[in-house]
Amino acid sequence: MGRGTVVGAPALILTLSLLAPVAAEADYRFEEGVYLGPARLMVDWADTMDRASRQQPLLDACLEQLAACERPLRGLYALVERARELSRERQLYLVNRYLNKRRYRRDRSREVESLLAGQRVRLPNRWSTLVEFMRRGGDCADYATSKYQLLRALDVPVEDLRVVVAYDRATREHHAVLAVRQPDGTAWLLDSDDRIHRSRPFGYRFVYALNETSIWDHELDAETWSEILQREEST
Amino acid sequence: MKKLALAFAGLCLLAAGSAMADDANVVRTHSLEVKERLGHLERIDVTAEKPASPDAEPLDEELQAMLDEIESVEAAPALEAAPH
Repeated sequence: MGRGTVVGAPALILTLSLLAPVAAEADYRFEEGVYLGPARLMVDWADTMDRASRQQPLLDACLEQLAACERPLRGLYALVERARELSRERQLYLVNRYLNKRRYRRDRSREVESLLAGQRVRLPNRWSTLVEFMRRGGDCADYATSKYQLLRALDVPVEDLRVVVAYDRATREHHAVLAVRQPDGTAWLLDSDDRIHRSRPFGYRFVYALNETSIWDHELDAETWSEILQREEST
Repeated sequence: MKKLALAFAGLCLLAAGSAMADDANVVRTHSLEVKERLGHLERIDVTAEKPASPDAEPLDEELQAMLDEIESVEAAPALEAAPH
């Protein structure tokens, strides 16, 4: 692998990021994200999904019986029991408002072994599971992940849910929301400020999205990736 | 401000030029592009704090009553909170 590869790839990505943000400016659409790979490639997210699987028996026991719940999880029992009677739309309102009341807490960066870099790297995020979030609160990424897990517990299909990371021009920082696909194909975005957006919030530019199986890119559109692939095939 | 914009534009052109020049003599694989991209995404700090918005739709009475009930279950002493 030549030196040019190392320099060229980030430069190409930078260039394409500047030239092709159009898809990120429309309303959120599940079918428009470019599939980047399986969720396990993003080590921190994959680790969170693993922890969520290990904590599932604890969560299941709590959702089954209030007496089995540790104190921070007791509201989940009550919520799931009541929300099962509701329409999907009303479930979203209840889940969004309930989890948004949890305490905000900023992540500390930490070192992890990255599958991508093949070495230890310092990552700014730690995605919390629903159980961890109920115990100690979290930041916007944790609100979105917890809504994801709670809606999964309410039998919302995995293909209708994504944690979406957007750049918010108003605050000049990245922000996570939960996208839920509605029966008519549109996406509702559950925000940590209690709003539920039915169209792209002003100032949000979608960057990428995750669920328990996959990662999608919303900055580089399908046409751009197709061009990259065609160029590579011709070299 | 104008100088800054010019400098940024120059940087973009340089980056574009570098990428195009590399295309001529570098074999790049799709997996490398994805790896670079994922590595970039993995390092994005996602920690925004958003206080409740005054523009949020209020819950209707039924949902608000449910929310209040859920919160009372949370606050009640252990076991005595069982709703049934």
